[in-house]
Parts: sequence; C-alpha cells; structure tokens
Amino acid sequence: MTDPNTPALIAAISDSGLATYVRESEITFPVLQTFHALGIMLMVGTIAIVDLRILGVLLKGQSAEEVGRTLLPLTWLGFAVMLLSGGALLVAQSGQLYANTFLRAKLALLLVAGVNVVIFHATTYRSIAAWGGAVAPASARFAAASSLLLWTAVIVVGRYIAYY
Amino acid sequence: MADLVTSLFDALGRSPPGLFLAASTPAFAAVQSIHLIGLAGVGGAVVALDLAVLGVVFRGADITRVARGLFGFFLVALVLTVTSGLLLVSAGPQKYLLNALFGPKLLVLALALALHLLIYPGIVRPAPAARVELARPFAAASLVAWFSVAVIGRWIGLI
Repeated sequence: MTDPNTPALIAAISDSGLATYVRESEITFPVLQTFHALGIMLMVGTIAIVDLRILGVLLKGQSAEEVGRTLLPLTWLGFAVMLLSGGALLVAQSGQLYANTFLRAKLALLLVAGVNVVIFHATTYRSIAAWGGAVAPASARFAAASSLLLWTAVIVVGRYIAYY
Repeated sequence: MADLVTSLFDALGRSPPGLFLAASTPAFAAVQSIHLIGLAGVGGAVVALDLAVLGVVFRGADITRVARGLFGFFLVALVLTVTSGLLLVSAGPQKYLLNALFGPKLLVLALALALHLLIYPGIVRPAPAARVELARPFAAASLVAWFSVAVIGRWIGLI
C-alpha cells in the first residue's frame, strides 16, 4: 500500500497499528485535526502576545516579565496539544507525506523556531525581570520579531501541506 | 431574509476576489492561512482576558489595564479573521450556504462577540472588585462560546 520508494522506517511507521487506526477511523482523524487547530491557536496566540509585549506594542501597563510568566503555561498547553495531535496525524499519513515539500519546510521551520526559543530563553530572557517598563534589549526585540515571523510561516506552510 | 442572504452570497461569488480565489488553490490556501493566523490572535486575546477576569492569569494585576492593553490586538485580529473569512466564503458561496454548520457558526460567533464585549462595561473604568466579580460569568461563557466557534468552524471544512 505504501510507495515502494518509501524508506523502510517510514513504511514501518505508516503500517503501524496507531497509524492504521488513525487513518481508517472516520472520527479520529477529523477530531485530531480539530485539536491540532485549537492547539495552534492557543500556542501561537499567547506567543504573539508575549512577543508583541517585548516589542512594546501591547499591554504596556504590564511588565514583559509578568506577561511572559503568566501566559507561558498556556503556551505550553497549546504546544502539547499541537504536538500530540500533529504527531498522530503525521504518523497516520507518513507514507504519503514523507515526500511532501511543505511538510519538510514546516519541520525545518519548527526546528528553527524551537532553536530561537531555546537560545532566547538561555540568554536575553534571563534578564527579563530587569527590563522593567523600559524598552526591551535589541537582542530580545530581534528574537521576538523572529518568533512572530517563524510561527506565522509555520502556520502558512502547514496549511499548504493539505493541498500538495 | 433568506433571499437577502442568498443574493449577498451570490454577489460575493461573482466579485473579482471571489472568482480569483475560486480558480486558484494557492491563493485560497493563503487566505485560509490568514484566517488561521487571525484566529490565533483572537483566541490568544480572548483566552488572556477571560482567564484574567476569572483570576487564572494576570493575578493581582489591574484588570482594567489588562483589558485595555489587549483590546487593540483583539480588534486587529478580529478584522483579519472576518475579512479573510468573507474572502473564503466568496470563493464558494454555495458550499457555505448549503453547509449545515455555517449558520450555527455565525450564530455562536455573534454570541461569543457579544459575551466578550459585555465584559468590558464592567471593567473598563477602574473597577471595584465587585464589578470584576460581575464580569466573571460573562468571561466563562465567552471562553465556551469562542471554543465552540473554533470547533464548529473547523468542522465546516470536514463535513
């Protein structure tokens, strides 16, 4: 059933019990798609608010530290929902999506977005409490702008997977 | 009323953007992406404010300031979502007119908007704690309503 050119590992994933179940169940697949969209909204929506606060666009009455601290648990919740549902969707369609250019681009963008998060939190973000109401350091504003661009690109590229 | 809706949808379908989007899959997917990005913004702003009113996030903060600080972002995201949504409808008006979930989605959307905006009169002026308490049921209902809008909206494309 899978393309003979598909690598053995991908074929094995694609033929696994979980993948076959998700693929063949009439209800599981669309339910997972719904969770995936909701997870993306929660994660990207809260990330955008934190990024825009760092850029000094909104919530100027609250410190960047407060906005980041209070919204981060929601971001993680959205991330977990997105990752689990997205992982199951990917496994189910791994045979046909393996060669999809937009999927590969999305995974690459996710990797870059993740590296951006790790670097930002390991460096500039550590001093966030000291920024106070003042303008965030240039490195923080660069990381926030990159984050907005990267997550926007992840959403756009992700939407195109379904069409190609 | 039904005739009015039908002729409005027909006009959308015959409009230049409607004809263009109906013929171009990449352009349609691009508008869907914008719709999803707008939704993420609306969802983020709604969740942040409603949960702040409910005392889950921004604890101890001045709710009035939080509401004001998020309102512009909410409006921009809403305009993005509604505009892209109208464009998506214009690409295939019949499909949406006949979709059993499209009407319910618009109804729940109207309810969600009303509930979310009803929170503000209670808290936009520096508000005594009692007024924030008063806004809490609206915040809870708003969360449920927006969640339903997103879920029903996703299923429009699935049924």
